[in-house]
Amino acid sequence: MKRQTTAVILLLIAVGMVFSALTSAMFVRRGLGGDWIALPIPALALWNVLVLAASSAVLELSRRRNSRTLWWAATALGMLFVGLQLQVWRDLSQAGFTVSTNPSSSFFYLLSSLHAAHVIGGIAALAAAASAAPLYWHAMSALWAYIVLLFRCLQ
Amino acid sequence: MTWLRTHVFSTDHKVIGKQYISLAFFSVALGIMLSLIMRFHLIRPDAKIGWFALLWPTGATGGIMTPELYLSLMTIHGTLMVFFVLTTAPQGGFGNYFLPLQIGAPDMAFPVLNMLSFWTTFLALLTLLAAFFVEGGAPLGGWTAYPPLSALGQIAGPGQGLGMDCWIVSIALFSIASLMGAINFITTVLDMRTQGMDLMRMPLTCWGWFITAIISLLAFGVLLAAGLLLLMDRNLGTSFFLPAGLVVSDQLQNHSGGSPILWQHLFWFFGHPEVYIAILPGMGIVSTVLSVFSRKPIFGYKAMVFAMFAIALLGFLVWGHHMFISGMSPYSAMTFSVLTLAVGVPSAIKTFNWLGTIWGGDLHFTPAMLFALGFVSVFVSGGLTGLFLGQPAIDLYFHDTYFVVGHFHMIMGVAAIFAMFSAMYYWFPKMHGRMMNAPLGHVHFYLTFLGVYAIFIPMHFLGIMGAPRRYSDFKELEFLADAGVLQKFTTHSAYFTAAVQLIFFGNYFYAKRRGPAAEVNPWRATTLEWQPSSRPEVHRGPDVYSLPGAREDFVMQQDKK
Repeated sequence: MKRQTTAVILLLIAVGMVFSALTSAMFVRRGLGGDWIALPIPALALWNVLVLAASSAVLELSRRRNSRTLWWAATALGMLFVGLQLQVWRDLSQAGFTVSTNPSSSFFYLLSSLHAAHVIGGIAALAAAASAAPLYWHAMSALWAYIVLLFRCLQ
Repeated sequence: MTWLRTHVFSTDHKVIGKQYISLAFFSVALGIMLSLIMRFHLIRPDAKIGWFALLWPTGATGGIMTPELYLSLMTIHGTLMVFFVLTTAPQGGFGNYFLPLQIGAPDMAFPVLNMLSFWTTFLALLTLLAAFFVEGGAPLGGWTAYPPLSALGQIAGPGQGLGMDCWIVSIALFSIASLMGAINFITTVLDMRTQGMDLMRMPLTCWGWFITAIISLLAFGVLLAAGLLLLMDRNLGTSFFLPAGLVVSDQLQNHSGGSPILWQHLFWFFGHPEVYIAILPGMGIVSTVLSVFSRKPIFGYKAMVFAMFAIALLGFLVWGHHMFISGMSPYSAMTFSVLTLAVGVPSAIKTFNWLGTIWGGDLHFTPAMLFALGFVSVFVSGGLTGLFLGQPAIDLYFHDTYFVVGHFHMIMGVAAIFAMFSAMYYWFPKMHGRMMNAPLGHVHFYLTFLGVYAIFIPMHFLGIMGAPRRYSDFKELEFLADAGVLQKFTTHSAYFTAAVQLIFFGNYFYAKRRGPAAEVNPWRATTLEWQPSSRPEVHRGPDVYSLPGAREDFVMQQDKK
């Protein structure tokens, strides 16, 4: 329905403002002093970009072929992503980076967990077979790619 | 169960609108009481009041108010008024009730989301008030919650422990509720208009709500992000806003490298647009009311719409004028200053058009009309002092003085409240099917109008004398020895103005039960809410009055001829 699509676009604008605010805060914080340590992003976080992208692609395929099975496969990939993110956080804290270690890790934990919360919301929307869920889902894939890219650039 | 569904957990936009208005009524009453206690304390700082000690055993031991208690009252006063009154009543209250009716929609686009917005706001209010009852009491940092004070915890003051956490969680919940509301409002305007209701045929009230929703959508996310960072600094040991080497109460704080100024940027990026969130719906209402009671079309309808958009856009580019003394580069200050003064252009367009609307009109001085005219008056007087504050050189002197307090209470507080009074007198017949008493409304207006000027004009003089805001006691400041009389005058004006509001509340609650029955369209207005029909079709703009050759002096939007 038209109004669901409108609402999802507006929701994405609001989410975009939250992440823009955090991004600009991150650039300001990094420029404040010499205490910023480059964060060794676990390789798994990069692979996760592909997991979400694959999920998006499967979802798009499901929409075009009108296939319930593919829809559920995309949802399952989304759940896999959340599970792998848990492992990313575990790897990171084992490498000695907890939430308060350095502003770089503080921002990483914040951005990634906020993103994960949005992904879990997306999984709920997919499970409810909401018509505008794919649009939201693609944006969440793009958002994770953006976050990883951001931290790669700041290394 | 049915009672619960229809009156409490209702998804009907009219019920939700009334719920928002009730929430705002409660908050404004509490906010006024807090301000009266503060005003009392300012003129009698040593008074021993028994019930202070009863209410706040630690904040007012023996009945004498501590500076910390004063600050906590001020914080809750500001938070209640800015968020739970000026953001809820104009948008969630009147907007919810009348936007769907005025564009011919059966309800808001997402009724359940609408209900969720209200109950999240309600939860936010409870969380805020809970701050009074937790250990240490309510926070001290004002509605702006500047770090380091707000980021340190209990060590920074009694209310800065759990009380501050309550405040942040409350504001985060409020932001989420406002975002849900904004999505609902924008979708409703874009996708739910009835046949023939082009965007440029919408009443200016709807434009006000629509543009306010756009500002909310873009601003509240930033506040939410800032709140998350602050919560992390407080509870997870991060250092976003806290610098290294901070010593508080002789204890070195274990933080490094952050900056309190970062919070100011994030907060005011939200905080300045928030001012327009409070005032734009009022501008829409005032435009409509002036047009109806002048029996004239709105002067420059298109210019009014574009001016609102211009104000919204500029609103996002001027946050730095709250931070002129934060050590920003003079070049940035100059830029922010020029952009700030530029807000005067669309504001002047609007004022000019309001005057143009009533110029030569057949004026009907109903209470709604009086409050709309009062709005224009306080908007101008409050706006003019903004010209002083918008210039960095003058702001260096005025910053954090009573001049600022006087300025923003006039332009944001009183102006928006006048618009709400106007809306209440105007739409009461529609909302409750009865009429409010007009002579009492006149008395209410004239006394309130005098009262607010009597409260806030002296504050400007206090500010010029250099009286700092947020002080609970001026005894030690010798240069303010002569200011006592101004303080007394302000306090007594505040008592007087607050007492006058009882006339309004009496009138309101009496009229709700016993007022004379209202006609369908008592003001002979043209917009859709006054002639309900299930599937209205719209043929013209919102303000066709005094049309030559028409049977009456107005034509309803859905009339074919």
